[in-house]
Amino acid sequence: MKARASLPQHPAHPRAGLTPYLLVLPALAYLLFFWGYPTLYAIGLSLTDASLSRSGVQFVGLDNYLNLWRDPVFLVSLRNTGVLLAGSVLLEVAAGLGVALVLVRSSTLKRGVLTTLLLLPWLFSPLVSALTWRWIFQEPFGLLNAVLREAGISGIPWLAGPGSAMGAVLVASLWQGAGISALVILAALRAIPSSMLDVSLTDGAAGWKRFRYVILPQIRGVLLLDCLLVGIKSLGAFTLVFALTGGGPGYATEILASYVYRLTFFHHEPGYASAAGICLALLFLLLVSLVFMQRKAATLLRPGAER
Amino acid sequence: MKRAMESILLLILAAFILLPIFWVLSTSLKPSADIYRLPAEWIPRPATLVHYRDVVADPRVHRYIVNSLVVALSSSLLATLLGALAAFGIGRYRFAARSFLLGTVLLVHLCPNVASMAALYRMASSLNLLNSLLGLVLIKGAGLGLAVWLLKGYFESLPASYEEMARMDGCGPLGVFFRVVLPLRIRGVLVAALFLFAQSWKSFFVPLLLVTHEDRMTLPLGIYQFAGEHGFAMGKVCAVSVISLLPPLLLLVFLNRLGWESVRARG
Repeated sequence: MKARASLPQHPAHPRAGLTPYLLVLPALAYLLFFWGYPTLYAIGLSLTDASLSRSGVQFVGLDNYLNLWRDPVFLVSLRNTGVLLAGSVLLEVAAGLGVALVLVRSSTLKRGVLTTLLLLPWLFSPLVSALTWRWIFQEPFGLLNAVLREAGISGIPWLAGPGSAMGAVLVASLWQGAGISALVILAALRAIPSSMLDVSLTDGAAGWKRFRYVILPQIRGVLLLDCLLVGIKSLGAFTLVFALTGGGPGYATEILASYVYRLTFFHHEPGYASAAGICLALLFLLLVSLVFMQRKAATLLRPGAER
Repeated sequence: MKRAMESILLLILAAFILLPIFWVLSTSLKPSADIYRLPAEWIPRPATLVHYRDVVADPRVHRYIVNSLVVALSSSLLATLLGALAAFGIGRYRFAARSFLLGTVLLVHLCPNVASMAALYRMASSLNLLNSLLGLVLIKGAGLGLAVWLLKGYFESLPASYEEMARMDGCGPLGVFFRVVLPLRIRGVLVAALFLFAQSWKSFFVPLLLVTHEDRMTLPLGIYQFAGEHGFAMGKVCAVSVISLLPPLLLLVFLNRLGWESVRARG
């Protein structure tokens, strides 16, 4: 970062003209075709009654969207999406912050070992981590019930109870994400100039006060960014729900992403499924714009801004 | 007192991260009869490699691994090439639509394709890309936003004088990119490619969407298949899961040697 400050921020390109556009064009065309087109197609489908149980497709306007609001499973999955979003953001960012605050003051060796440890869940495919947690929560042979039985508590069918199944999804999500959160926040904590921390100590700010008035303002942007990343991960946590609970018991852990899959591939209702998918896409957009409206995070991601 | 609290916190953290990994390893080394016996044993006694032997000898597993490697290699190459070119354009030039293009790439990168799965499936179907490795490669290639974001700042930090010299020697923009920027910034390009490779290797959703034929399945999809068809073969599922961790583990070692943190910090 310091090295860049001495460089010209705008390298001279007298004959730039169309060149940068041509360089970006292949990537942009690619994204338009494989991302933009399916998205527009989904919007189009969501306005039709496309379904395998009927032949012929008719334009039905916003009917699918209106029906969604009368669909109890959609409403439950919307609520569950909210629960998973709020729960995982709170848990993962708080855990990441706590771990990072401890690690930043640890010795280099300890920090090195623990940083490697934090990266281990990253090795797992979301599918493999979901199956691993399913095997841990399994009754009666899973690890968790084995531990409980040693403590004299009889086994609990974790994935069969609505509340405990959602808890299981949150725990698995925490396991997948807490390490990355901690590393992102740790990098920000380590970038705070130590002189700033020293001065605050001589000023008598310690403990909570030092955290609140010295450290927090410095890492606010990164915390917001981390909330965004965790939130996006949980909105798209299809694999986790699909392989850990299958949305069950009943619809107790069904989230929008898994409901859209169910509507598409089990109910064969691409039109209606697309309407639910567009609602999910709107949630992504809402989350991104909410975080970007916070100036700190916006400057953090602005082109050319330092990170 | 405070030190003790911190140590306890770190211990809980280590246990939380390590126990699931330990449990998978332990299960993969137990004879099938011991996996389904109460009370459960922590340490496999006796330990056996029979599940690994079964899995390694299974021709289906060979197929899954080869398919995963082909898809991950091709899609990461494709995405890195397209992404690096775009990052070169965005990072080294100043032009009107720069922020807009960068924002678009970021938006695509942040909003995954779970929302439009029905449309994606129909599109793949009409392009004959169902049950095809090419289809997986092309759709995973859309992860190129990661390369753009990682490399934009990294290319920016290359002193402009190198580029000007190449230009005076008669290099056009592509010449500058392939002969100057790419060789001098190969470390960052490798980091981007390795991250994209890992992302594709681990991916489950897109293969689930597009592939139903056994001999076109990638490893995560194959593991899911195993978990479904042998309800009581956790030993085999755990053994193949452990094997699936090895390429990312190898990548992580490479990434550490490449100093990926410094690339990310400048990206």
